[in-house]
Amino acid sequence: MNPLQALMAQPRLSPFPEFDKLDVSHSSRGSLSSCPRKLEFRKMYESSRRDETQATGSGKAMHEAFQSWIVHKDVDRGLWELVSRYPIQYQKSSMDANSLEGCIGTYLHCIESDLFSEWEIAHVVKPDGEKVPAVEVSFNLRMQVDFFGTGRMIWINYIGFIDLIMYNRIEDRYAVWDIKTTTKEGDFVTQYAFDEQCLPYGLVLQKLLGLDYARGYEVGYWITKLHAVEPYEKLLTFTKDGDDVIQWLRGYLLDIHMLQTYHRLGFFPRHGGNCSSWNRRCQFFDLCDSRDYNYLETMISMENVELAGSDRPEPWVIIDLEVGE
Amino acid sequence: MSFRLNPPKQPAKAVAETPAKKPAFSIGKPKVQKPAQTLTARFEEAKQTQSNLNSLVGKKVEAEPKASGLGNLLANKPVPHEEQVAAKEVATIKLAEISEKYVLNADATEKLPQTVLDDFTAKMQHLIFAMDTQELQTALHSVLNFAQENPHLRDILRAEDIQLVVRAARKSYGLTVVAKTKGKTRTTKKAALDADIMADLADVSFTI
Repeated sequence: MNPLQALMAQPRLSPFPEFDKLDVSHSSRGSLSSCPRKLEFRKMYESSRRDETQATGSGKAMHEAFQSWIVHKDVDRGLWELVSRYPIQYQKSSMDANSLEGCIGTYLHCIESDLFSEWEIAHVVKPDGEKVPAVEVSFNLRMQVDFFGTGRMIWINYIGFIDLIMYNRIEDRYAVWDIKTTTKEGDFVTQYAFDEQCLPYGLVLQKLLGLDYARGYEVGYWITKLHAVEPYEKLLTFTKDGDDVIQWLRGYLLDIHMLQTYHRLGFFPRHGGNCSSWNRRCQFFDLCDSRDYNYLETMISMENVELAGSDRPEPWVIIDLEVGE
Repeated sequence: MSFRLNPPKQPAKAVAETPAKKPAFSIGKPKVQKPAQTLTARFEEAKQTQSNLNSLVGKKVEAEPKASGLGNLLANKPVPHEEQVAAKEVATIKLAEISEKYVLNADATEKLPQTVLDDFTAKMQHLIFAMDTQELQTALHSVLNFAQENPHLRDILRAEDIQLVVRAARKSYGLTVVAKTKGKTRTTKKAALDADIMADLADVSFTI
């Protein structure tokens, strides 16, 4: 028996409670990769701390504006969405690329894109029969897993939101689009060629539109560079297929297995190199010194605030995955 | 490894919804077969068309107003023409109307203390005064900041308030563009001046 097997064979070490479901989405996987302790604070202690910055806030506001315009084709309506949702409290100067003014310039530029002469928003029908534009399509890919090794199955939910499902009226085809906002130039092809966020969207396309993801589906990254005077936008597209979905699922299951191991051991490792990111301290830095479950549980429950109702909709595309040999 | 998607217990309704197909590449109006005309008749028709066009020369043709949707932002309805016209009159809105309307909407204001309403009214008034000045950005950011601190304000905003904020946002963007472009022009001018000096120096020759 090797040392790891010996460790795992010990009686249950974990102070963490058992739960009935666990949400592990794309952002959770990102946290797991950058620092598992961050995920420990979020999932085991259910901390309500959220880390909003000007970059993340302006990106969200731009999403709202674009999605509004693509559905309603009303410039001012989209502009209002942008202005009312922009996190103005973080703005230092209107000359910054991601300032409110920079975002307005980018929005006004991007909606004039030639892309919209051939692409339009697709419409899908919800299970209750309501026909809706395919904007912010919320889905839940879920599977049952014996997470605690006790024979009790719990739901593992992968909850995601597809920014846009677009329809090309000239070539009669569909694509999922993910809106990306950036302030920097970069090699976007390298950045997004193997990006995993959009891979499971193929399953949603199959469920909603009857497209066979295994034969290939199109993923578009609509990249918009924020700038008041020199904004730009471009669409990068990649074709994905069944192999990509299988690879995504393997990676996802490995992450679940890793979480199972951390939970069983009662130990989520810390990645000390990532305590600072973009020159900002990790939001859990002040708590991270402690490994005492009771102390952390008390501290976090005292400071936890009821999260303001998310304006993101509940998932309405539910897909059950059954994983086999 | 394989996986399969479990069929839902209650199958969803037919879900594929393809947007109505548009005719492939039909540019302009569809061609209508006209009855055969004599050459004279066609000439007369062309003359008439030309005469109509000539009558437009020198006249300004008013385009149909573009739907802005502001009048019904919150109600999600198409915008009637009358409301668009009303929205245009925001520029001349009276301050008295602005100050009064926040106390008129009694249901929505229950959640907001009177002091918040008063402060917001003052900030909106400041925004109106600052509309054509360099103070605009400060006034706009102040309104937006205040609205974020008091999210219930969103419930009492009317179409004309939204119009005002959107208009201010456009102007604020314009100010930033001017400021950024001005910087660039200076740089360009300096570069041009440098280039001129270098060109002059290039002609300098020395004889010993």
